[in-house]
Amino acid sequence: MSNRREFLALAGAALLARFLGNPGGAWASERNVNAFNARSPESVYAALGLSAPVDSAEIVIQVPDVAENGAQVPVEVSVRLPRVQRILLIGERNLFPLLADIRLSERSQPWLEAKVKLAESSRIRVIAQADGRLFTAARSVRVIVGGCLPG
Amino acid sequence: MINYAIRLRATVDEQGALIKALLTHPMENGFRRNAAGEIAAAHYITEITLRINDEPVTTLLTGSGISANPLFGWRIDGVQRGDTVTIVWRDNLGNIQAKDTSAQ
Repeated sequence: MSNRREFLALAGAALLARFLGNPGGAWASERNVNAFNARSPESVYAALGLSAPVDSAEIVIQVPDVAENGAQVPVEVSVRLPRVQRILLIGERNLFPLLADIRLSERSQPWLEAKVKLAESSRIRVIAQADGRLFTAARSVRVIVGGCLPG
Repeated sequence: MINYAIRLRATVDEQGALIKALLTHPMENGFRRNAAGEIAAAHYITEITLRINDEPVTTLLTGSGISANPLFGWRIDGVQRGDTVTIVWRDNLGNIQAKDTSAQ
């Protein structure tokens, strides 16, 4: 191993090899394609088989009130409920509203930061599954330049 | 060849560890036109898994509504300095990338 670059390349290849071909169930393999292809929030819920969530003030969503660039909207979600197992991020007026379906283990705190695209001014809705029950909250974002289609 | 570099940082504090990842990915939704007026094919990450000492702690199933070159942040309990934090993603074209770092 002559230099650092070569070492890093080899280490990277070894790390990658562990995840090729799903050894030991490395992948969740439960991505619901129909939910990600659904064209409305209602169809997302239907595809996921979710019952109607209850509004909750314990879901805190931090987003800018006005987003200059809809292609890069920062979102921070914090859920103040015990045993949060799953968080869904939805951009209500996007062509494909479901942005992310997040599965949390017991070691994961119910907190998440991400950057998402919003096609137009819209609510960002969060659905959290805590102790088997579904809760929801939403925040509006005004988008100046849409982030999904060419302007 | 597309550059899929991953930047990963794990900082241990009183409340566990704050983990931040900056991925390099076009996250094309299949509707955008490029400069030549051609529609860019859909190309986006579908799944991201975060592991601590090889134990999966969080999985994100994602769609094309996540920003290009996505940034993510998580907080994980019980992480010690020196623990190995690994992030792995795969996309709709079957590409896989992984990166690990040592919690600081």
